Amino acid sequence: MYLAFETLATQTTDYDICIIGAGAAGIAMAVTLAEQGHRTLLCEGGEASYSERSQAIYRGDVVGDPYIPLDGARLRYLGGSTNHWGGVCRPLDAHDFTAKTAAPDTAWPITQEALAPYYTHAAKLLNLTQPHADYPITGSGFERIYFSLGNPVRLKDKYAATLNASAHVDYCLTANLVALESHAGQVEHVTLRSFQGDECQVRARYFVLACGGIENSRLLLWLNQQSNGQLIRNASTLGRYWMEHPHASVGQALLFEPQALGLDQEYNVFLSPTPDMLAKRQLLNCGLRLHRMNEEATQQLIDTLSQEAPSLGEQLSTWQSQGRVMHGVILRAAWEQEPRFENRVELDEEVDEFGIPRSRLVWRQSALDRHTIRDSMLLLGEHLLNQNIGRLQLADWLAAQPVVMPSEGELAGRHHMGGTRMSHRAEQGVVNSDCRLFDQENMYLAGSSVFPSVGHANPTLTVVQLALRLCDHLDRQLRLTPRA
Amino acid sequence: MSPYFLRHPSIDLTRRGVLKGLFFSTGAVLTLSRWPVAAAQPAPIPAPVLVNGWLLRAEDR
Repeated sequence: MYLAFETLATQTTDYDICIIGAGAAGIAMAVTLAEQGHRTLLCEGGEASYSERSQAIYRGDVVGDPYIPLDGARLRYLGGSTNHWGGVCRPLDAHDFTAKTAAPDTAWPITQEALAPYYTHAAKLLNLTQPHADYPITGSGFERIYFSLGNPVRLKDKYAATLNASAHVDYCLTANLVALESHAGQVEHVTLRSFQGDECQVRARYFVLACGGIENSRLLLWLNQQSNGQLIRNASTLGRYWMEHPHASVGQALLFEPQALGLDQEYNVFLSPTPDMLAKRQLLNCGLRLHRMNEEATQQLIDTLSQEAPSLGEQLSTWQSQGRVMHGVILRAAWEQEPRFENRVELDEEVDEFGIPRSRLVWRQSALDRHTIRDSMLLLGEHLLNQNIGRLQLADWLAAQPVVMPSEGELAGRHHMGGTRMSHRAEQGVVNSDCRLFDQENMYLAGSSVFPSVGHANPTLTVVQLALRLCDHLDRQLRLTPRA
Repeated sequence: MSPYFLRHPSIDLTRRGVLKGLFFSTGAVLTLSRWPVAAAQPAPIPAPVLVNGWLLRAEDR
């Protein structure tokens, strides 16, 4: 049920679980923990709908490559960024959890099998359609891959009635985390502050920080500073290994035989290099989207190609006179970014209205990131050429050497990942494979900040799978040690 | 190294593989005169050239 901040401040409820952050991970967890019968408090820093004041907390600085303003890439109110996401989902590939030949730091401490049992439940929460199974395109080095597309659930709307009616979950708005008290490896309480300046302390057996792929790092950096380094004793990787999915228009192609890639039947086709090809060409993961042009644009492309390649142009004219249907395609891509220590969230000198330092994001793309997209495109171009089923043109920025990433356009997917990476050891990460802070017995993180690497797939499905896995873990913990 | 290296389709170059290929080939009599190596060679794939971003075969131009 909804709990006004003033009510929360005057009551003395001890919760089983206190979740800070009501976005995809926080709401998925609250709904699931309620079904499991656990007394849960869900705290949202913002309001029930958008407000400039809450959104302003997200302002921050960006250093490095061109990037989207930090307060423009996410939403700070009930439901979080599920209030504006596109609903595109796909699980990470099995090889995304492994150490890639090109970048050994991509290994997760868990495998795809650890998340697979949560797929069906996560798909139901997110209203996903069942996509077609991937399959390899023989001899190409590519797989045809599928996403669940076009049904972006607004979790706030979907679960408002559930949260309001639940006997097990309380949720509170404008409840901003400003302090945390920990003793001997146990978080005892958190301090929340409203926009009106009221404060309250909340006690719980377990705490979950689920504030997103930048805020989890920012808040922990601040809280760890306040605790004189006792919250996270080895904080060498805190805020580090931050990643995005670079997005860009990467070129165009003319397909002489569109059926070879399925573009005779569909307007959009997604391709990804096979794991063998990633290893052979020293690539990170990459998704290429081929979007079919209309007839007019296709004819313009045929004319352009014929000017560059007159001999081929004669052949194209002959084929057209014989009635062959060819299609132009626009190519867009989203690809994996190398996990690098240098890319990080850090604390700025400027503070927000609660006195907490704002985020400064230091983010640059590496030579391997640039190699991944250029070589993936060359690989597809070679396949079209070798099979004589088409010709591909790289976008200007990809054709030039050295490659310089575009400074405008999509830039990235607004997918904030890493910063509090999951690891076997405290020297290499912030949380263990259960998503628990190494030095705290009862504090966990939910969300994409725990990703050690990111594949190319949109992160929300994986975020919810991890959140549901964390619910099962907490459920077991609570049943092992029932309340006295 | 340039990414534009030659890539050949997979082909069975063992004596058994080549004999099998010849047996099923309607052009077996013609190719026998070039036995065994010439018959087993795939058609060379010309190296691509990059022209204004287009990945082309030399003969396309």
